[in-house]
Amino acid sequence: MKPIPQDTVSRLFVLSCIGFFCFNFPFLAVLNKPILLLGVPLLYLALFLIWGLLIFFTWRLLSKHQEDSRPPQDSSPY
Amino acid sequence: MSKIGIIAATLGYLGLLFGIAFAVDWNKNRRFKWLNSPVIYSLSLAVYCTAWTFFGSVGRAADAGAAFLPIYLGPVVLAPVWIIVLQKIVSISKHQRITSVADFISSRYGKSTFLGIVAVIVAVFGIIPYISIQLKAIATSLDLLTTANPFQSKHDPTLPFYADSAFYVAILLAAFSILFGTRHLDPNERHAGMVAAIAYESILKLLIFLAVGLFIVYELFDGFGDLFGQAIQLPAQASILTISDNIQGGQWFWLMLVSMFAFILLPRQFHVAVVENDNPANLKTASWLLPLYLLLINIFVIPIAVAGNLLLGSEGVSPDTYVLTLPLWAGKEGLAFLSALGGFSAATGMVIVATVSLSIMISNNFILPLVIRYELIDPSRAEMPERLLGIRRVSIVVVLLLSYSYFKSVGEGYSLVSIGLISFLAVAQFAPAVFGGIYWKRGNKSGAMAGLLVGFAVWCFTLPFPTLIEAGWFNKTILTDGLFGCGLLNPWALFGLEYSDHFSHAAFWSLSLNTFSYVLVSLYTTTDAIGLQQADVFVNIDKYQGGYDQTGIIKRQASIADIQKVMNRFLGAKQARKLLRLYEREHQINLSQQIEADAELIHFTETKLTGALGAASSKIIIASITKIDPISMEEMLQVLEQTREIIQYSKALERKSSELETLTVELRHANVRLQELDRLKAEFVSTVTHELRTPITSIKAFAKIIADNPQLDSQQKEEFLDIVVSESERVSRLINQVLDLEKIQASEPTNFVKIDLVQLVKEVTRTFKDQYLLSLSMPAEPILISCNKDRMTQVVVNLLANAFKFCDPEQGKIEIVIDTEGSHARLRVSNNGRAIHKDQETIVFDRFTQLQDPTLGKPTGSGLGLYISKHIVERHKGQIQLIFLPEWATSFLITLPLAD
Repeated sequence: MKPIPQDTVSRLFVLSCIGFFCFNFPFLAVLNKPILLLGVPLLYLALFLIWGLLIFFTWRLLSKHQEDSRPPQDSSPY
Repeated sequence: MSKIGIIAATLGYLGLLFGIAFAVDWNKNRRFKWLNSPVIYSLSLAVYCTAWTFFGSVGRAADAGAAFLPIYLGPVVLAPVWIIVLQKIVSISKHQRITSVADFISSRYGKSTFLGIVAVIVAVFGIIPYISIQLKAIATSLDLLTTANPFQSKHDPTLPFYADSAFYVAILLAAFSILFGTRHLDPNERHAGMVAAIAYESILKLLIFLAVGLFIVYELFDGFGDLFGQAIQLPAQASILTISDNIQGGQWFWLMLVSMFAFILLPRQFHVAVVENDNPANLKTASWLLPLYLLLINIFVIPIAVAGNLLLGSEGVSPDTYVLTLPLWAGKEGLAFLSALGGFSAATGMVIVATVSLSIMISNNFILPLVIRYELIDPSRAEMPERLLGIRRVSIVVVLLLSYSYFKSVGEGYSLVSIGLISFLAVAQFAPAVFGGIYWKRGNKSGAMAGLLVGFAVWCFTLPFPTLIEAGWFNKTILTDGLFGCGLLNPWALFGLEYSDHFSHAAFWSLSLNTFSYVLVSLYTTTDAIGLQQADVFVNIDKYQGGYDQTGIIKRQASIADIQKVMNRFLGAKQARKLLRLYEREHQINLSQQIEADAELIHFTETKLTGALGAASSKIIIASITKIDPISMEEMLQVLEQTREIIQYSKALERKSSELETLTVELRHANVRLQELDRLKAEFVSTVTHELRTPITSIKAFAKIIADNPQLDSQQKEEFLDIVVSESERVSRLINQVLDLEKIQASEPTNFVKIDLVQLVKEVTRTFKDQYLLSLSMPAEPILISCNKDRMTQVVVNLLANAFKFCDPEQGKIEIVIDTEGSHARLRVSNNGRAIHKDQETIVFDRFTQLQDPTLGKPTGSGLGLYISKHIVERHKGQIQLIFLPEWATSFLITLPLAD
């Protein structure tokens, strides 16, 4: 596998930190209100939205290096 | 539903799974190229979602709302950096042929057998509660489906095991795990068939859960709005739409942290993520696909929990069964059966992978290292592969029976999630050793051992121990008064720390004490050679992947026959022949013609054995046939000798170089001095010739006058002759002094004797005619100095001669004072004649300095007297200087060291 560029590594790391920040208290207290938005509790709507954004940005950052993800030829004798 | 029908359907499902696995294994490397795909890899990672997820999440959400989420958010938050962290672990594991998380730890810390055994114990005891909840979930769902009134049903804990469906579930799962994981011994511990079956199960459990969720939200309610709209009206239900106060902060954080670790370190997760990984690039897809999977499987958790609470809350149904009981309540038996199947597939997937990975650990890192030592030389034993599989099969059965016992004695009283968390925290104890091990080179065996033992002990004491107490195994007062009545040893308030919940309390103490022990012990203990080598491989894996010398500093020797013997024993004769032929082909050699195996063949053998038996076992086997220990004394000495020689050589070079430098400096100085001397010489010659010319010119002139004028009167002639004589004397004096000077400069004064300075001065003064001018002031006792007498006499004569010369014969006064000061003798000669100006102070001691004074006419000296005197005095380590005293015109002071 081609090594991931240092820049992408830093961005992934920051993405992970942002996720940790958003999914933890005290930030969660901002969303922790018993109200419905579009018929769904605000807390769950926001959590799943952030979750989705994390997935999207991870995919964006990693899909740039997707071209060489073919498996290597297995050289083992089994 | 009829019991027979359900059992038949369940067996049919398991048969289907096994069929998938069997077909994949059969066709491996032929048709199923898609098996290597990143999607299959990501789906296999979803083995993280077990019956805990399928049934337990809803149960947890029904009680505590969002509290079910942190254990998924942990892995999701970490997912972006898997490509960094997990990929490093995968690379290391491929390189080192790691077979399990225990093997990883053992291998990292010097292939330590003991550490491997400890890790296996932690893993096995940690996972048993986890497997037990899978048994519980399956048994509960089977009971629910077959009972007449599912809402009143309660699993009867007093049931004897032979009448308990959970027991048969355990037996069945053991049989299937054996079929999946131990049909044959793969040298890479790859189970492509099992992975395919797991991936299939992951799809199935997700689809079924989504189907149940959609049914509940859109059939039983009018969509999300309706469902949540009803819930928010009721205060009890509204509370689960937010995060309750008691989970905020502490518990939430610890759940996320521990699940981050658990996602990688749970034996089954490590197995599918690392051991079964055949292409590290698959992690790129998994980094976003797995979080997506987790998102989808969690979307309907809260809606189902809310629906369950609204519809079944008053019926006394356990929330852990809502996924099943809601369809039953709605009269949809088919959907309920599907739901049970989903839970069953989630549970079986976990149990199969967990027991297979535990059995690999138990056989490779626990049993083998113990038995190999005793059996190695016994040729009567069967070939290892068969026995290895035997050990694994027994391990699987034992693990499942232990899990069943735990379920019987403890598990029934707790919810799925609270028991699952016990296991999560157990494997989180690996975190410092594993993550420290791949980034921190100083981490060593003692540190890992200390951390793991401390963490495990605290975990045992604070989580599973209280469950055993509550189950009645121990005295219940321990939970209030502490162990042995010691309040500090309360399992729920260790060292007096009252925490909001037991899990956070246990996580805080076990993880922090574990980490501190690991770091501190590592810092204060040393590492052996093999530990250092492994640390380097693990921390700097990139360096080793490009064909770097893998044998490292450890050189070994073994006979080819021994190599063949152990390969036959532990890999099977057929496999061994195949491998050795491959080695011969690759290296173009014929092993049958050789006796000794080189380091490379030994390394090749060790790698192959490691893949099959784990690092610790293969280390023991290789050590038993290699003649020399890791590094021979001879080689070590040789290396040391070479190093010593190099150091000595370099030191010698340094010395030479510094010597040369000093020499250069000295030469430069000498050169400067020589140039100076040359210049002085030239100057001297020109001055001397000039000084000689003056008297000779006058001698010549007067001699010519006398010769040319014979008629000169005798008085005038006499006058002229006097001048000629005196000028001749001056020339001869000059020549004598120049000769003296040459002599003095050319050689150091020798013939030092102790003489009395007073005596010497007295003797000298006697030679001067105008004695009346002198006044002497000197002590009666002798003042001894060490000197060359002739030279010192010359100095005194010079000084006195000068004094007399510049004195008026009538009114002149000359004073000579001798005394001592400290360790020096002092001689002062003063006169009241012509004064020497202060600005002439420095030049009077120069060569050929003649003080011009019009009143005294032509200078009579050579200008060398004071110069010679200064020179002599300095050669005697003394000083001569012109001093200015108010009552005297001129004073010279000589200071000389006293004789000892």
